[in-house]
Amino acid sequence: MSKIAKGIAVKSALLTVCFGFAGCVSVSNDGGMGVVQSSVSTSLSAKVDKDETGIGHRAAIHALLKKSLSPERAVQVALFNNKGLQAAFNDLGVSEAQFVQASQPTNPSLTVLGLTGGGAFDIEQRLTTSLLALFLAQPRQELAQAQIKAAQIKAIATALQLAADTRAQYWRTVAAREQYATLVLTRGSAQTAAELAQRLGQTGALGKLDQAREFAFHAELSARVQLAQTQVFLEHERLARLMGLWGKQATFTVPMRLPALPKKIRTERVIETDAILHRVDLKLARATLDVVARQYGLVQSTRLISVFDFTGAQNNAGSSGARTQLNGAEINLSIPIYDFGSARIREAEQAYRAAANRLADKAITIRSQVREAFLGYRGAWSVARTYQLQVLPLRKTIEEEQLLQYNGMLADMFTLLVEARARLASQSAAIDAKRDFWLAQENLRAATIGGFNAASATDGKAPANDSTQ
Amino acid sequence: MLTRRAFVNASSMSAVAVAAVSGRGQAASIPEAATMKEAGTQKPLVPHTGPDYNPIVTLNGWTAPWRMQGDWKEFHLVAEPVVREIAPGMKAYLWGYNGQSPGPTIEAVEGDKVRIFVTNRLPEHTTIHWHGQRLPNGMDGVTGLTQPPIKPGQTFVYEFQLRRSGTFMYHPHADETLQMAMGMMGLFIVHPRDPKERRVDRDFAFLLNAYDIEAGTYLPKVNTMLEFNLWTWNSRAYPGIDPFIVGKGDKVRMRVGNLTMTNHPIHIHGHEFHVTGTDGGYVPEGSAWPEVTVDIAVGQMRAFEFMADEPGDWAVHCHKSHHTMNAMGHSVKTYIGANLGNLQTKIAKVAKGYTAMGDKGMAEMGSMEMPMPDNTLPMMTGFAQFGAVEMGGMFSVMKVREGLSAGDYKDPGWYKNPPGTVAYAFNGTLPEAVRAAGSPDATHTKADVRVVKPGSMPAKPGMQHD
Repeated sequence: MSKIAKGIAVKSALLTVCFGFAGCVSVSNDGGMGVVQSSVSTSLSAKVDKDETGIGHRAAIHALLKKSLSPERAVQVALFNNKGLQAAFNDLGVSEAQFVQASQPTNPSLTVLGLTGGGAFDIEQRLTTSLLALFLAQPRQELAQAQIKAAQIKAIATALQLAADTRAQYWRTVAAREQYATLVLTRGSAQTAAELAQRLGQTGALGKLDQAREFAFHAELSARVQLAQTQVFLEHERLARLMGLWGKQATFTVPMRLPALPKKIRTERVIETDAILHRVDLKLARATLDVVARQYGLVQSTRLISVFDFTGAQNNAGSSGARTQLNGAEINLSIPIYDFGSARIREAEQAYRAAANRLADKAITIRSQVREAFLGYRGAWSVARTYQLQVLPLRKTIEEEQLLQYNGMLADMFTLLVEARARLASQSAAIDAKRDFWLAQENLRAATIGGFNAASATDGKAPANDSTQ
Repeated sequence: MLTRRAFVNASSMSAVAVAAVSGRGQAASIPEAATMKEAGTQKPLVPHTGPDYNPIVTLNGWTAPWRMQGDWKEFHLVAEPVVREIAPGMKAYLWGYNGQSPGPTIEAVEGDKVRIFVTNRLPEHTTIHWHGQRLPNGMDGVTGLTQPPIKPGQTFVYEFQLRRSGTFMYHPHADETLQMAMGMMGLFIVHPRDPKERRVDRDFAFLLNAYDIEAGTYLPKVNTMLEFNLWTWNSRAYPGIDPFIVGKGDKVRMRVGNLTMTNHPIHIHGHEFHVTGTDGGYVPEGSAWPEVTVDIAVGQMRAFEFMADEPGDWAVHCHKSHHTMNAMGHSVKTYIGANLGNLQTKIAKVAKGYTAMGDKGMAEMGSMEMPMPDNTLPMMTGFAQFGAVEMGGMFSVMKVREGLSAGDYKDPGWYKNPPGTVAYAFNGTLPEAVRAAGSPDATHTKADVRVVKPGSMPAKPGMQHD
């Protein structure tokens, strides 16, 4: 075999090696953001962008905040503006830089071609050395690659978590506003009753006792209105924080009331499949498995061995003593290569199995989480619907009938006000139910795509602002 | 309208009926039970068989037909659930007899032998007590005491001879409170053997009864003992009670029986009357006492007579003024004098459709005709030629007119008052009243009455509230 032919053979072998590591050497110019952007875009229909200029997306954010917020716009503002997310993007940049560094010395063609041609042994020796250097560098690359993949997924997860938290907080903020408005109306009815009581006191029809009862009720409702107003401020501030807003921009507005319930809800059938396909933390686990598999040379030992067969084939082409020489030359590399004995394969098998089990565990947990989230979602829809379709119409009927009773002087004027309060109390409960539905929907979304917060999944409380996936 | 239905229409019923009436030869067949579908006053039933008499006019009611079986007058009462129209716009789900509550009036003549079949189509047992009658003890109708109960599906027979004439009633004496609260009762008139005895031109009869039917409902609350909200005559409330149509110069008798839980002072405008009959019988002519209001105690019957010699539309009513009102809310506060002002808008904001009422009084209620709960009569209602009458409950009108023929009970419309005989508004200027020197100025009354409890400050009207 001519030298040139051998060189070609070596090159093709190098290519084979490179394919074996699945294009791992490629370096992006976007700090790893491309994957993150396309993933977030698919999952959230929103844009993410690394703020390289430090100016941020002032104009875009300003435009987004101009109108009364929608959940989508709130998420977009948060993705553009949340500094924690930007930090995750920077971390991704760091990982990629490390990856690039790890890739640098392992350019085999440079190494091989840089050497001037000597005897066949020489070339083979150099090539082998270079290849071994590649194999030696390979774990470093694998590590860097795993890191960048992890950083990418972590960045995606952070974005998804931020989006989920922002959406949930958006619903809480709107719900607080609606609750406040309802309570103001309720207080109005109490105030009217109190004034009525006062006037009946003046005509001599109502004693101090009954007047005081009405006044006390009004005063208590006033306190509750103040509480509700505080809640509006708190929820607003929490939303502003997630969107990374401060100062003048934090004076954005949200709608007065929650949107109507959807008439139909998602069905159970595709939800688990969706989650298995899309959950970002599952992707991370799968990537880990891939990495492990690759680290151990695709575990199926033939494949693993075939890599070494390639080395042996080179020796077979030359003298039989070359193996010894090769072996001699491999001293520095002996541990990684010689450790690929049966013990090493068992370790690979165990490592692979561990990763596979972790992946399986994750998948099973996710399926359960998404079922739980679905049950909560369907239950919340059912409760909210009961309020919309039954409780509130019945309250209206009660009020109408009470009015008829009043018309017939069968019931007192105060009973109208009392029924109005009862209706408003039901309305308040209906707002809670509706808010819980929208929160449950976010929870289901997060359980399907990521950003799922197991701690907040069942109790409906505000989740902690960290992204533990 | 009187309809007839075959009583024995089901073989199972027939078996029960035969079993229940077995042992009495004459009862081998049972008279048909007539039923009534209308709540209006029916024409008096002139007798075609048996001794002659002057028939009664049952206010918003009717007389049960009978058949002669030998020398027995046979009636058939069916105790059953009925729907009674209390007044146009309101129906009550009651228990009664032969399609109505009260049941048909039983009319017979002193000395008649009556055989009354009583079929029970109620879900529980019943009996009939013949209130005021002299009869064999075993015919008195007290369940457990004088007879076994008439179980659902059974028919019992009561047989007795009518020993005296007068005004009587019939009602259950089994689960009595409930069954009477559900409307089970009827009139029983025994006419004198001699049609000329105590003869009048128009002879009206009605029972006083009371129900508690909440606004928007149909079924009486049977556990109410005193706080009834519907005060009725023959289970009718004004404006559902027919007027008494009377010819000028007619001798009129009204017979009233009280099966409510309270007394009722029945009052007639424009005439004095003499109380001529009680539960115990006729008052001797020389002892009949004059009144314009006769109080009828619980369980009592009174008959009073007068000459209708004043033409016009004369009110006849219970003088307990709350008995001339329909269902009302007793918990409604008093708003008289309260200046609701801008509060009305505030209330309307919370309670949509609200209109202020009661701050001047309640008369507006009589004419407003506001939307009401289903099946509910306005508390005060009724309209006549001069406007809203503002009445309800135990109220009706006696229309005395010239030139009515004997059997004419058709409503003649509103009375045409001769010119100058109707109260009128004064449109002139009132001269300043001449006052004695030193008399207090009427415009500056200082009679500010304040209640002062021992050891306390005078009560201040109103509290301060911001």
